[in-house]
Amino acid sequence: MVLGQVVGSVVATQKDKSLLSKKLLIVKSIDLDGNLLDSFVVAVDIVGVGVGEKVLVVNGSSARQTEETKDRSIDSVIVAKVDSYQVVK
Amino acid sequence: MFYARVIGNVVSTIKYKGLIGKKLQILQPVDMETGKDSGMFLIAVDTTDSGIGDFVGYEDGMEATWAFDSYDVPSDASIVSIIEKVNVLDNK
Repeated sequence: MVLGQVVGSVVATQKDKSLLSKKLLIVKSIDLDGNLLDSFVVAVDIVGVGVGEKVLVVNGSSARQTEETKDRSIDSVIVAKVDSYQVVK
Repeated sequence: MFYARVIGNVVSTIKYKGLIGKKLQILQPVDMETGKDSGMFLIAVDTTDSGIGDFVGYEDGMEATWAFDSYDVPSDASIVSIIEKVNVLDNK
């Protein structure tokens, strides 16, 4: 899973029917200090998060292991909203 | 299976139901031969009972979901073993 921060949303009217009514958010990866990195993904939100929140994103075929994303054309999904994290270096 | 060190943990209350009760650990991948950190950190779901400082083995990709009995766990990285010792033959 990748630690990220929601930086925006995507609006698409014409899309595959398996994506209908799915919330698409732009998530930028962050490092452990909270700094935004260059890489980003467009992920489907299944937990209900908003812009600015830190989240966990699951990528690849594992992203389809939920009721909301099963058998759909989805390869990135937001599965958790991060409250806090602790790092010992 | 890949080799990593547990460097922290993540607290999350709002999450997908399949992840409820699962421990989320922050892993730093480690090179088995040199013992040095290699690559970017990642977050993994714990199936063992690892703690900060432990060296662990983790699966990534689709295999990570096979570590759970349920098909309802969206995980692309799962800790599947705690590693006590690594023996690498020195071929250099």
